[in-house]
Amino acid sequence: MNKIEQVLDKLIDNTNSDSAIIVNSEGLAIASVNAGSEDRIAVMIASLHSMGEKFSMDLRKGNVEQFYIKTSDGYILLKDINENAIIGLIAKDSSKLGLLMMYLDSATNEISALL
Amino acid sequence: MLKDVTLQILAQLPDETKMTDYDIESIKKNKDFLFSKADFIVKDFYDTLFANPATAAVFHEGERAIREKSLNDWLVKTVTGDFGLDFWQWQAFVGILHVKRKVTNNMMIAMMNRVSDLISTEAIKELSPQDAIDLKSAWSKFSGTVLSLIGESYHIFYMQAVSNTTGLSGKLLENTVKVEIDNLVNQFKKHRM
Repeated sequence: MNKIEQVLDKLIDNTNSDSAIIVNSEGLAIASVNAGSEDRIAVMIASLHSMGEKFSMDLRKGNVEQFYIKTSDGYILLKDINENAIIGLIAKDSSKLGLLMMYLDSATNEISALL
Repeated sequence: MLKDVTLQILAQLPDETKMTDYDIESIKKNKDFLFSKADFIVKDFYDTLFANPATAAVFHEGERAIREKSLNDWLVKTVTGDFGLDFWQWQAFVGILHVKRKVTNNMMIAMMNRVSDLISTEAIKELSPQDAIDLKSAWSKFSGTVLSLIGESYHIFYMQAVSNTTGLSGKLLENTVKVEIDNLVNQFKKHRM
């Protein structure tokens, strides 16, 4: 397990999440932990992010900083690491959103220094 | 935009499939023969389209006469064309108009082949053997190029429309499609085994 994967693993442990992944803007996975269909999740995360950015740009609402999707079974959170990397966290319903965001911010900073 | 797409598509075609000066000469040499077949080709073309529900559904009521004139004009413009960049760009534009009318690539390819068959059959009946062979070869390269322009420009503009609307870059779209194609290939292999 490399250093980036260690950060993702710690993030999953701290938040009791299912999986975490880092992808680039072209939808290619940079690193992941527990992401079953890694390729598929990577393109979906990058696509969601691109659509959000386009939507935000069209509405003149500035740059996208974070994505938050609440589902019946949990959360999907996306956050920019830098211009070309996005972190995705797939969390359980029992997770606390505030804690998820706090740990996601912390992991983002750590990974940013490693990329 | 259309000029760039036309150039890009033409540049990807093997030289052996492109029209040569000899091919262009062959079409020009036989232009009277082609003009004489215009009414026959146009009638067969629309008889065929209107005889099949899927293709007939493309048309509005009472528009056959207008469409017949359009095809006739296309034939005349094609036979008298200079086969330069503007000419090919115009052919790509004709393709886009078809997309707008929901004429799909499979319909277009099938009907272009039918026109090619009609021209070959009539040429064999009425022209000298050498002229018939030359015209068949020239028309085959011409229709191959037109179908390449129509099919590929359809794909390029379709992807651009998705990209412009969703914000997905070309690379991201490519990777998204690749992931799905890989899944399909794996499923196909699994079922065959």
